[in-house]
Amino acid sequence: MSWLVPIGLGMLGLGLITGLGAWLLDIANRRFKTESDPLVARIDQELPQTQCGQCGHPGCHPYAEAIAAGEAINRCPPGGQDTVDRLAELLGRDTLPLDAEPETVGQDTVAWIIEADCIGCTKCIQACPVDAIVGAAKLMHTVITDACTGCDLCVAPCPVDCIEMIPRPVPANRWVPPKPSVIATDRYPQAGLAHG
Amino acid sequence: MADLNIQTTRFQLPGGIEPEMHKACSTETPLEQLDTPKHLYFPVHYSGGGRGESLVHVGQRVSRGTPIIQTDSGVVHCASRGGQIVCVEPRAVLHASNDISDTIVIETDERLDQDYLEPLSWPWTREILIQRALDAGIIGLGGAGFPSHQKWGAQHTLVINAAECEPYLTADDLLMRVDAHSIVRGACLLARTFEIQRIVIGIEDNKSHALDALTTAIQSARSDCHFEIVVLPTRYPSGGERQLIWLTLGEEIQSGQRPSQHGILVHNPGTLAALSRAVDGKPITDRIVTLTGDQMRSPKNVLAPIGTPLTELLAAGHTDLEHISSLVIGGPFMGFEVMHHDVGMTKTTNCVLVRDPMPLPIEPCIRCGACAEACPVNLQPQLLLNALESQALERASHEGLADCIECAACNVVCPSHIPLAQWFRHGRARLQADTEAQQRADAARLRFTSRTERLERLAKEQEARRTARRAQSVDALARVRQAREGNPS
Repeated sequence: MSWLVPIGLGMLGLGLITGLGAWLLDIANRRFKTESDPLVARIDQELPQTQCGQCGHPGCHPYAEAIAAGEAINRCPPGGQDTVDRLAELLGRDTLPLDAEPETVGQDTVAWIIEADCIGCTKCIQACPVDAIVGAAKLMHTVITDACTGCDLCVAPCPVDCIEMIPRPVPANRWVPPKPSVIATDRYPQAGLAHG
Repeated sequence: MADLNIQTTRFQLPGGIEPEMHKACSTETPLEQLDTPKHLYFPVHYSGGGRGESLVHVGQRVSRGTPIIQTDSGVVHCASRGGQIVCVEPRAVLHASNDISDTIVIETDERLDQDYLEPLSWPWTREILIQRALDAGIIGLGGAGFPSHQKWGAQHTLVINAAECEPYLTADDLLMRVDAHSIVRGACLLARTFEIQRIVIGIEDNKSHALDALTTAIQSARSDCHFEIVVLPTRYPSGGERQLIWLTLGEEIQSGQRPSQHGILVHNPGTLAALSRAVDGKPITDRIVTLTGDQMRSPKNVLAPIGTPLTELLAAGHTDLEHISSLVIGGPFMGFEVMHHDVGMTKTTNCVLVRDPMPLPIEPCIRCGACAEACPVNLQPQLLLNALESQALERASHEGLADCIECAACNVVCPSHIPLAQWFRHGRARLQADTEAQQRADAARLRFTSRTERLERLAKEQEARRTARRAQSVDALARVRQAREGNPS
């Protein structure tokens, strides 16, 4: 029966290695466990991060969580129809028409404080979801334009109406040239006629 | 005497085209100094160097060289002639977007007073030269108008882009003929300040006069710089930055990299000449402009004050607005058409091209592949077009849209006359805008998350304080009670 000894040892060895592997995997699972749902993160990635609350949630991440839990995907006016379509593709749902007033869609604006009128009440600072307003009590406030998402949540709390939404300033080299027209007749009527 | 070595390039441009150059007509007459026009226009935002701010007020008198615009990048633009600021009003700008910008209008007068900077004397530090470039308003005069000082750093090679490969343009050619000394001096002092070991000039073989002038200037220069001139065959677009580096040094700049990462600095000759004058205290106030095109009655090059209205430039070429069918700023391939004509020229206005564009009907792509053969960066323009037409920006990006240099060689060879380059300009700008929007969104997400965390933490801290206070008061009450029970009085 001595021939059973090496086989037994081999099996024992394999068992040990497997056990060690399982133990390592268990440690890794505990150590690198992701807290957040990866689907929520991917939905959040598609949302425009204006944190405006027009969807009825206090920010983009809460809305992403709600979508993952089954809420409608068409409630983000700043994202526009593009965002709805991309979310539909990501989630394998049917796309929906955007649920928003047409004039609120796709406007790239930033808040602008008329500094002469500001009384320094700090109400807008508390309203800003991305900490883009600086100032202190009884001192003038101003908007960090680069950090402003254009959510307009600061406009309503202002007691002296000194905040305006203005179009986002675009540097000269960020101008997007128009698409050329595809149809020849649009551009050169005579040439198009002569041709066909 | 500076050391010189002339050779012909050993490398070949991939793709490229050989269009008719139309250069001779504007180089036959000598360079002409334009008279000071009645009004000069300086747009606050589109003068080069980013968004700007006016440094002057209406009614103020300025001299030639007085700083009038401060830009985001630190570059300061100066008045090109003396006169009164009559107004600062929104006007159209000389830019492909035909946008509107606040514009400073100077009414010039007869006085020839100057408000120049103090001349620098060697030795100076890098910081001093950079500050001088800012104060003298030096931006790349080749066309893009990128602030020059931002390119300076740890480079070992300076390539002077004297290719001027686009048809019709002769402004750099004329500059080299009349002022090669300034170019050579500018290159030498830049090389000395930034410890650049090698200076290479890339010049196309159709500029023999300019080549002679450069040779003479280098040989008579009182400097120990070593110059190399590399003569390139006339082929468009050999003057593209990466194309020129390949042709002169045989070095390939990979996709997504910049020449500075390879220790290479590329400058237009005009920029170096301006730098040389800046060291003497003179800011950029004038530049050479080519007036040319089939409809320009007397094509020529003029030295014009910055801010000169286009109508004055046309008048200098004996042409008026009624007799032209299209006005393009820059060359026929990379230039842009302007809609408003009462607009001041800027530092990057190198050419006013008036001609009949002779539009041909656009037809569908027949997949002949001619554009792929002409593309100097080995892209497949027909695939890019297909992707962009079907709104697939990601696919276009995957096909290498970001590497397109917008040279429009594909437009020229396309048998269906498809405006490929316009599609690519649109697509590239969209790509850039989308990337920036994504970056903004990521930053906003980060700010929102950290604010939410902070608010939660503050609320928790407040709650903890409240609990502690309550516990304290309960404690105190208990003690008082105990004390009362202990000694009943």
